[in-house]
Amino acid sequence: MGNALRRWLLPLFLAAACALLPGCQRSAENEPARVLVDGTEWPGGSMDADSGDDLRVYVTLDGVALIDLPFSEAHALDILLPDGGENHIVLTGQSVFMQDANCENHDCVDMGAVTRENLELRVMGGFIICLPHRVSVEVRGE
Amino acid sequence: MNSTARKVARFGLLASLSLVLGFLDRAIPLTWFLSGAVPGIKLGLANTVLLYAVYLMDWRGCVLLMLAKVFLSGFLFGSMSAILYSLSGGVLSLIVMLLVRKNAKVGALVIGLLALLSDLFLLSRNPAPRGQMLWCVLLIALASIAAFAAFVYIRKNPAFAVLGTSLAGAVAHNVGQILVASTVLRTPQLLYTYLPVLVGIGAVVGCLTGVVAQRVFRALRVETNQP
Repeated sequence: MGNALRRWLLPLFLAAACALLPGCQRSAENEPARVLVDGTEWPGGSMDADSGDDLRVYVTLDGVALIDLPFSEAHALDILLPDGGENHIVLTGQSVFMQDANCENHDCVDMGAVTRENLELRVMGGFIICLPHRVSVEVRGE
Repeated sequence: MNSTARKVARFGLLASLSLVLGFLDRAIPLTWFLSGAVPGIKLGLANTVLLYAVYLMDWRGCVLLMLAKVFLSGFLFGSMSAILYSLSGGVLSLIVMLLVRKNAKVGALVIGLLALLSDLFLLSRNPAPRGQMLWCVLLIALASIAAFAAFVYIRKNPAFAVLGTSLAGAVAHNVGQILVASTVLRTPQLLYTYLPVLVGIGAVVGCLTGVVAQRVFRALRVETNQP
């Protein structure tokens, strides 16, 4: 490479990288994500179950718990992120799947449903993950 | 011709080629493969450009090309998080490719062993795989065999060295991405559910792109055994 390229462009790229990387980490504390359960605002925390069911669905953002609820109940979850990202998760009582998301690749939608039967057979185990939004849905025992 | 001008021209050519191939990568959906079981996999044709650079340029040029590819394609087609993941994959794969370019057969051998180990690990977690898992276990076994075959080929004929470097680079790319993804999501579970599968798929795809790159090198008459 030319001298100018070596002297200016490489530090420039590295500086851009350093400036961008912290910006990628969403600050969950400043502006929390909203969770709608069946259309109504959810204050946070876990939903109690009387069904005596062992499986629960845990939804996290950046590894921080948003909500967890029993697998065997039918609900529609809307996760609304402060930056405009949306994930719509459907619990039918028998399965959990990502119905829709406005991320760029829709891998989470393509991952299909987690059911009681395929929990051990899926490549991703009990996980449905939206990598661009850093939303993770996990089905596991308590 | 001035050698600096030649280098700059070559750099620009490779950077634009990697952008075009990156777009092609996005256009070929591999996600339908295994019916969405393995999300976020792609062919990695853009990596063949980096492979070419590893054999033709010094390490500074390679780093610059990798950064150009990651940031330009990130700004053009992707988002911030896409840049983060492709940067982590790009850095690790470039380091590994620069390390193994002179002894590519060792790279192929290590990848073969790694694929074998991850296959055995999957089998130990799930002794009777069915459905998606069965296909993945078979695929990783195939990847392991392919990597060992690449090792034998390279030992016989050093002109196949690109194959080993490609294998190592593809697997390292996946490992880097998963490391960052599991850190960002704080789900270390990804490391033992998803990583073994991605090692296998990386080896298969790396083999394919390695063959492509080797053909291209031969057509361009690049000496790969003497970097």
